Amino acid sequence: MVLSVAESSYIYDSLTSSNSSRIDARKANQYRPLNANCGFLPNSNGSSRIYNADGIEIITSVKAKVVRTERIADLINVDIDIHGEKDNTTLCQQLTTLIKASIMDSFQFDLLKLTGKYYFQLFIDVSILYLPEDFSASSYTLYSLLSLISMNVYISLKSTKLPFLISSKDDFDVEEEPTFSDDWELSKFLIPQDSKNTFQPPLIFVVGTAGEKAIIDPSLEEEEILEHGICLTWSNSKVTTPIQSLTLSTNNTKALKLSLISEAIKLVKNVAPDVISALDTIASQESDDFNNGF
Amino acid sequence: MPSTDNTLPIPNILTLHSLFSSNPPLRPSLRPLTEPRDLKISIINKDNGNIEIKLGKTYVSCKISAIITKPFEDRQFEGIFNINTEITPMCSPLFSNGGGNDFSTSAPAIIPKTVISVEENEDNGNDVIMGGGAMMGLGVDQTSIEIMLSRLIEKAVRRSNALDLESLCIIAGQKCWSIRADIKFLNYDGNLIDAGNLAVIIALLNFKKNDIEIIGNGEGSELVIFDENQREKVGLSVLHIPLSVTFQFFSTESIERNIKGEKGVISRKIKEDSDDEDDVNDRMEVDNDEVGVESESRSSNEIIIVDATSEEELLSQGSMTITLNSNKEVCQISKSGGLNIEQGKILECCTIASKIVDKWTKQIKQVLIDEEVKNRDLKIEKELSVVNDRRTS
Amino acid sequence: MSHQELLSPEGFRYDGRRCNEQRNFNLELNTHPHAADGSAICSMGNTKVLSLLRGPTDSNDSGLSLSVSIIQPPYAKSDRVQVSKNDRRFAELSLMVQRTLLQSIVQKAYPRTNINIKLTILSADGSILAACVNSATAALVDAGIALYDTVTAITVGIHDISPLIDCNAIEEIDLPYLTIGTISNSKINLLLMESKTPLDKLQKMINLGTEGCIQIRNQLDIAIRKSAIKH
Repeated sequence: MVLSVAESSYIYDSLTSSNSSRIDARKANQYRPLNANCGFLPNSNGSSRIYNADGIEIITSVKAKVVRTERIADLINVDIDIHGEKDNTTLCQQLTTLIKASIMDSFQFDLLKLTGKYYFQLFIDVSILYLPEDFSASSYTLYSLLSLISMNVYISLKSTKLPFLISSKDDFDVEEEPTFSDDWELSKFLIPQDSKNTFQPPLIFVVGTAGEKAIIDPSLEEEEILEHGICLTWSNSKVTTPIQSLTLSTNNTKALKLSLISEAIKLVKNVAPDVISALDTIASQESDDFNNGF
Repeated sequence: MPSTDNTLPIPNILTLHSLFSSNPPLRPSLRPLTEPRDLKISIINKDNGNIEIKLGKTYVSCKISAIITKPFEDRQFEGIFNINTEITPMCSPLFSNGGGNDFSTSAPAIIPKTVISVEENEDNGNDVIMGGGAMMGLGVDQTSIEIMLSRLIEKAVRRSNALDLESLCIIAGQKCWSIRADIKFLNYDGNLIDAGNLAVIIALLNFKKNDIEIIGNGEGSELVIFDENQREKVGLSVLHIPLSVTFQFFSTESIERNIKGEKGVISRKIKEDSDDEDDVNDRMEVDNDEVGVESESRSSNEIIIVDATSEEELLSQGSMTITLNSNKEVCQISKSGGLNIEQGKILECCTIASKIVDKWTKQIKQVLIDEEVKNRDLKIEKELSVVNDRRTS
Repeated sequence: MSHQELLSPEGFRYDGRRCNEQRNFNLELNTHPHAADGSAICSMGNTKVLSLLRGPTDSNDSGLSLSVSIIQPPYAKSDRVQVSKNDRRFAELSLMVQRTLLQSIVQKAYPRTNINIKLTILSADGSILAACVNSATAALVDAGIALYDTVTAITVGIHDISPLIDCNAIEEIDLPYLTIGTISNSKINLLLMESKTPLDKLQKMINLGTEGCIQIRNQLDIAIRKSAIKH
């Protein structure tokens, strides 16, 4: 996207003025509309789909497999695929590493412990079904995708159900493979829904800064005039690593002021609880009829 | 008609078209429509299964090789069988080397169209588009030819279990035979599928691998490979002989009429009344009416031929491959796109295919018997000579 | 799976259907209005195929170039399997879908045109090719591409002497089956069979298949009308 000088100065000035406004009339802490639903893939333990007004659509599936391993790091696998692109593009690899790192950092691994010896191994597969063409060359793609994928993974992990174990939990002395109940009604959520203090999968927020202002979820047009970006991870009700400073656009970059980082953290703290409660609502409204998923 | 070796005939489309629209339809070579060309089998090296077949001017060679490897993890009790097909510029200047190895996005089919306008008024959409429907052949780009060709031959021979894979297992999970068939297309004159399939099967039937024996049990067991002089080589266990027959479809109707048959019939009748238009299609159908050939060819005038030459493949509007064995078991059918065919015609094709397969199977078996006889003679001679040697000494 | 379990003596199949009973068929058009020019989701039982069509756009080739790509994400089957992008089976399937559709498009209306269809198998439980064809046809209709007629496809398996329509994955493993696609007048456009079947049973299978295609066609018709009213 190339903006004219007049256009970009208009966007910049209206954003940084004392009476700040964004071009799409959003508040600084407001997201663009997103749609999401979950539980529509019959062959997966958890699934979710998210799409925004740009037409970006992401589907995530969580599959669980029983393994016998000691290596905790193997228990979570993330695989991201962009439709029509090769597996090994830098974009794919960057996304995979960042998402995996953020999940591994905060994951509560005892949730995956099945019995004394056996664990559930999770395969998180993300397919990006559609990317608008003018996105492919922009750095914006990476970070807006990152944020969307993290929300998507959040919903699918929250809606992931695991079968009910009927064999004994303590199998250190006996050599038996875990067996499960055939009744899917008995299945339990991977992340218990009722108790308040359980772990939350990480969410990644992208905050853009211009002048003294910090805005959340910058749009493609805003991205052109932003001076800096900060990527923050929110997990278990606090801001955690990775926190990254990012260059959103190449035109306008200036050094990042320290005060802006705390501004951004404040913004995320402000937004995150709302986002989480919204995502939780979606995750709890599992569509029973697979066909209503779309 | 044209065609000298190695130069591609430039098909005289109109001649071909008018031959096909004549009544009854004729082929340029005057070969009957459902008659394949002569099959010639020559065995170059009986032991490593190096054979060459000629189907008209389509020449194909196939060579089998066998090595001992480790079986696949998920198939511990089976050997490995691979078929390797290669189309090189050698068989026709139309093909280039290494067409495309990336199948991730199917290459758009670039289809040269030969449009014959059968009416002066272009706008009423009755052009007959010939070509573009062939599964194989000049009408389609090379990547898709290669994919289809290798898949079809693989499905015909490998998936139908023509080769008993379990017999290739030596020690479960540890050692097995890996058989590899390399098909080389030497000259292209249509119908690569059938020729390729024939070549693989004949090569497999002729191939003999070294005899082996496992000596000892458990840990200390040893695998002994005997060479030709120690023990006679053994053949592969080929369970049945699946052979492919590829049909090409032609129609002198437009696509629209082929799809919406009913409407076409009505419009024809109107035209017959007005009788002032000179429509090749209509004329042909009217001719049919007058001569009163089979009623079936009137209801839909698709022309079905087998074993097409390269020229015929160029004009073909659709193709279908049927693989059968002599037990009248269909191993695969594959038709995608191209001319739409009534179900009755498809069953008809199956019957025709079954006859051709019977004929080819007989011929293959005869070749095998001849070969056997030759071998036996040699053996007896050898023995006799040994006996003679002793006597003289 | 024993042979007996696939079809009980009372005539019920493993999942409780009769021989000539289809699975739940659902087709939705225009599911992704922002992401594609034409989109559809076809579900046949637990098989779900999403198609996104982009086009018609400019192209340098003289005629219509239609490209079809099929992707099966690793989560499509009940066991996680990674499908390589160079997989020949999927290359063949996409070629078959491409050729089948090409025949139904009014090609002379689209000179120098590119149409690009992406099929994603969200969930695979048998009849993949049939679902791909149905889904792609619906996407073509949704994009407003001129068609002579719609192509619809279905699978038919055979258990001893009884043909079974619309096979699921379990039946596809153990029984010979074929995929059949027809255009109006029940003319056969697509026919794919990969397993050994006696010749004399073929007629029965094709007969039931053409019947099934007509059913699917009616359902496609209803879905098209429904989406036309909605928009």
